[in-house]
Amino acid sequence: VHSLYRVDARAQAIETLYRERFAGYCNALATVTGDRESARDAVQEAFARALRDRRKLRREEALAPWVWTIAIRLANGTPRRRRSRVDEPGEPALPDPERDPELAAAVRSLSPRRRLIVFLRYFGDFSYAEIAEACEVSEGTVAATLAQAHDALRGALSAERTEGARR
Amino acid sequence: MTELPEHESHLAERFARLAVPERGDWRDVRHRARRGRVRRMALVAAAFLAAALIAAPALGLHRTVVEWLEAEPAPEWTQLEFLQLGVGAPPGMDPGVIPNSARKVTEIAHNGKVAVLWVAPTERGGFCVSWTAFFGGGCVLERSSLPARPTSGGDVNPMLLGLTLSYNPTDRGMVRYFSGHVLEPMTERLLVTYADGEEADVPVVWVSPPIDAGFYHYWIAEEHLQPGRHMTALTAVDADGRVLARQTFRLTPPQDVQPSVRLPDGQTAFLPRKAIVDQARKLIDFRSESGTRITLWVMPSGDGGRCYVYNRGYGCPPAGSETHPLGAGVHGGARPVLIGGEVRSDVATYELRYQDGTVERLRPVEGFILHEIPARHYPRGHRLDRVRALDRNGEELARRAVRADATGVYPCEVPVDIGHGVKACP
Repeated sequence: VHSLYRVDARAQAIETLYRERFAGYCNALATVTGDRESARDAVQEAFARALRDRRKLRREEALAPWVWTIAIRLANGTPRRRRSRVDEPGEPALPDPERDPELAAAVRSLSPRRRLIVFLRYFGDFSYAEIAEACEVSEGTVAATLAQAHDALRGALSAERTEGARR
Repeated sequence: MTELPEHESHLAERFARLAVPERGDWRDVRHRARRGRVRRMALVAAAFLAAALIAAPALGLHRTVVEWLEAEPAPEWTQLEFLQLGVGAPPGMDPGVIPNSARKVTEIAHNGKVAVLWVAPTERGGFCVSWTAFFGGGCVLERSSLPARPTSGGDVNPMLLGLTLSYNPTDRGMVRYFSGHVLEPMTERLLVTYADGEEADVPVVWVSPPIDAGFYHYWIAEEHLQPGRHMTALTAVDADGRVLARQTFRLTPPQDVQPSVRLPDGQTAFLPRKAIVDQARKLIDFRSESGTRITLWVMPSGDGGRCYVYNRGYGCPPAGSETHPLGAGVHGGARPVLIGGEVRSDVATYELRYQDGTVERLRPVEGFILHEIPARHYPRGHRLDRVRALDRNGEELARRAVRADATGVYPCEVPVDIGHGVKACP
């Protein structure tokens, strides 16, 4: 149940983003927090803060990465001025590695920065532009990083399969 | 879902199998957003208080927050009143109130009377309110069902204010007090504006989910009950002072004020100026069981229609306007209890059926009925519970159930306490 009386478009955009991509944010953030419960709570709080402070957003198209930035700061428990967003992403990893050990191992072979970009792409459904904004890099860098990560994952996964076949 | 380049799709599918479906709760997001603001506001207030207690009256918070689960549960009588809101409601109009969840939100005192605001949630996420002592109540059935209102005149989303007004028509419609609810969670202040440019904050009591709405009641100060200093607007603004909702008010032009007129028998009544009072005819006239004279007058109106007035009501529908077959209503609350009003011209019989099986049939006079419900039908089990309109062939034109268990309609010997010192006839 919600009010139809959205008096500004930005609040409406935040609600739409929430309704369409809440699950994606939770799944992506769970790779950082390591558990789904705290990820869910951080995403919930991030959207609440975004709603409250929505007038601080400078560009509409930066909404999705802005909310992500809030969420990851909350997840890290990090004051804004002391850390930048993905400079210290920790060791993002699949929260349930046992569900796909092959993929989990392949992901672990990537650098933490690449892992986060992969998770934002495949769990968070972020566009290249959104990832670029969230990670403060260019879209070209995102494309290149994803391509490298993709190759590495494909290589790792096929190596796993070959290894498995030998055994 | 973003469209993926082909080479990514295999990987995407593999990740998708690991994704967990999460269900969000947008209401919780809104609640958190508001809670954060309130917390900040409280911190600011605390800092001010610590710095200069003497300034507190000028810095008073405009909004208090009531945690729903910590609010006082409503007594049985109040729960019963909420329950009755759904009794006999036409299809689709039953608010689906959850009476045993009703709670006390606030109470206010004015001129020695105390009014309590009771609130009960509804099954569809709305709420019903009931003010004791001063005002009635109402329901927000379902928030998402409220129609959006276009901005017009100086108004902005006036429905968001859920406003109920009290004014005296002879005072040119000058607002004396008002109450209502705000649904927009970004509301930070509610401001009343006067014609002389003054502004005042209206205190709002914000109730946490599942109600998730703010409630207010405000009496206009004496000095603002005069033209030129009267209330002109009620405005809800957010933390940045942006207008979220506004309703404006204008005084009725002096020439449009309904004057007090003297009817041919010396009685006075308030009627629109278009009523041609010197042509009034007495259509129905009788004495009630208690000896009160009951009279219905009709007269032509300046626009070609007709006006009518009787002890408990009046009307001046324009010529050609449609009348419902069951247009009459019950006027209770004191002796005598009447049923009266205008019915459609093809209604030959207006039938009243009581709970005890008694039936009364009334013959409309020139499209009007006016009848006293006898005192023997005041007790429960004997009350009016259905009305029907029949044509001259006895064919039913319309029927309607009447709430027989409504509190306060039928007079009684001993009113009972319905909570917080408020007494009414059950």
